[in-house]
Amino acid sequence: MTDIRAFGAAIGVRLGPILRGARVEKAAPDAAQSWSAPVVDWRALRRFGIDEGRLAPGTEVRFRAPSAWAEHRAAILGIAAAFAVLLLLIARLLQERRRRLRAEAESNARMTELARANRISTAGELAAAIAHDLGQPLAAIDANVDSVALLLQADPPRVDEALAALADVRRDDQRAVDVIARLRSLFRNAEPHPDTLWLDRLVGDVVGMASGAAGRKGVQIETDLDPRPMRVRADAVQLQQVFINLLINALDAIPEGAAQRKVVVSARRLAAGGIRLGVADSGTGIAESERARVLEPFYTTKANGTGVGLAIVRRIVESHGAQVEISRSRLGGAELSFVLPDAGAGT
Amino acid sequence: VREDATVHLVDDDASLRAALARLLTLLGYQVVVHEDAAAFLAAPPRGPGCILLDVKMPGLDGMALHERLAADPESLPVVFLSAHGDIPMSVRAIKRGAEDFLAKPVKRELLVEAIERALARDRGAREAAALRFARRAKLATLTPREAEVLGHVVKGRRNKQIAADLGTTERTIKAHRAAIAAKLGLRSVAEIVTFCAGL
Repeated sequence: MTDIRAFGAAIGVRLGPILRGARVEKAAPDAAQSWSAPVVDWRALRRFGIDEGRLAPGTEVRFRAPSAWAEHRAAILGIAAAFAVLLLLIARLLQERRRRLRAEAESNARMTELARANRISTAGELAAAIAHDLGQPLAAIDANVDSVALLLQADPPRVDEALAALADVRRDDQRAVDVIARLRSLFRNAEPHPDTLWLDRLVGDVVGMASGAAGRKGVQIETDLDPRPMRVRADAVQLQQVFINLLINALDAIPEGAAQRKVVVSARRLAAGGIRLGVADSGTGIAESERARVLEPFYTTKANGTGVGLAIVRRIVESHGAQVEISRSRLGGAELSFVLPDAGAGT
Repeated sequence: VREDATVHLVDDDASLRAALARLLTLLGYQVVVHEDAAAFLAAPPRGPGCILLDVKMPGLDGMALHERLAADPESLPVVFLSAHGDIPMSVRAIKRGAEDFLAKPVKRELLVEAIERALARDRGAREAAALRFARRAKLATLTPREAEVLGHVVKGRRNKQIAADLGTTERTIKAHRAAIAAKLGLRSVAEIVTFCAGL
């Protein structure tokens, strides 16, 4: 209030002399200049096509239309930001896709590797090694036995030489025994290292690993899991190997061109306690008479099978204190199953 | 019967080597053992015989040794002994000229049969080589002119034609032919052609 009054008073002091007829010597210099500067209308410039560069220096241009940037600044920034976000998203998705493809390839490789480990390395190389390591001493024994016969048939019999040959027979016999002992220790060495495992996750993993092979065969793998998470105590790698072998067999059991192409991996709590794990297929099934033999080592019904896969399954399942059951599956083919003790759902 | 033929046994397994050497010696063969391919190559045998060759050996294996030997036309026939041979391997060996490809342990009869076949093949090759050598020696006794006439004769040309080609008379050619037949110990043209065909 006081300010306005003081301001009014000040103006009054200045205006008073003028109103009373006093002459004002000169106007404020800056005000005089601003009146003298030319002023043009921007819209008129545009209309007559006059270049702004040709205007006298200091010309004030008025009514200039604001530029797109000035007018839509917020919108432009918004759109640019949206584009940036989209680009980032696309890049991210591409990266994600690459990662998924890589993971898929990796899981396929792991699957093939596992299958190979079982089939070729275990059986093929083992068979070659056995053939060689047993073949050498057996061939030597054979030759020495022939020699002994010839030495004893000689007239007079060459007994000392025959005894020397027999000593060699014994030595080679021991060599063969050693080979067999080595072989047995090889099969025995797989002591399980049990862990408490979440079954749902393990099943998901193995189904993921087998999905590549299943896709190539046009077979659909489904899971049938108890709604409540399940845990068992088992060796994770060995149990995985069991499932992989069972899945490979299930996939192989489905004939080319069969209408129904399905494999179901199930894990269900039993009323009597324990968790029943099974792999069922819609294949040709296993005849009653064959059931005992398919689990034996080196027994195979496949053209280029090795007969090792199910033998490994049996060994692992039995080392976990369970038995492999073979039955007819609801899908029409075979189902191989075993029951592991329930380790509870945990806390 | 076998005193001049030697069976060369190449196997890295000392006990099998000793057992086979014992048996083959008892069967009347002369046996020389080599503990690997390198030992065999260090002193390549020149006399008649055959080679019993193991496939799987450290260093140069049996297949690789055979490949080297096969390049030498005078090398000894090879019988393979393998504890884990497969069909492709045996086919490759036979195609390269191996006498046989036997699986260990091998029955004595089969082994002896294969060795006998290999020795017979070696003998045949040596006889053929000796015959070739003898014929070449006889041919070397011909004069250059006689050799030239022989070249025309084996092509089935008549004396008149040969005389015309060589710019001489039929009589001279006849004389040359008589000299050739005498030097080579042959009578008919057919004999002369057969003689030259094997060289």
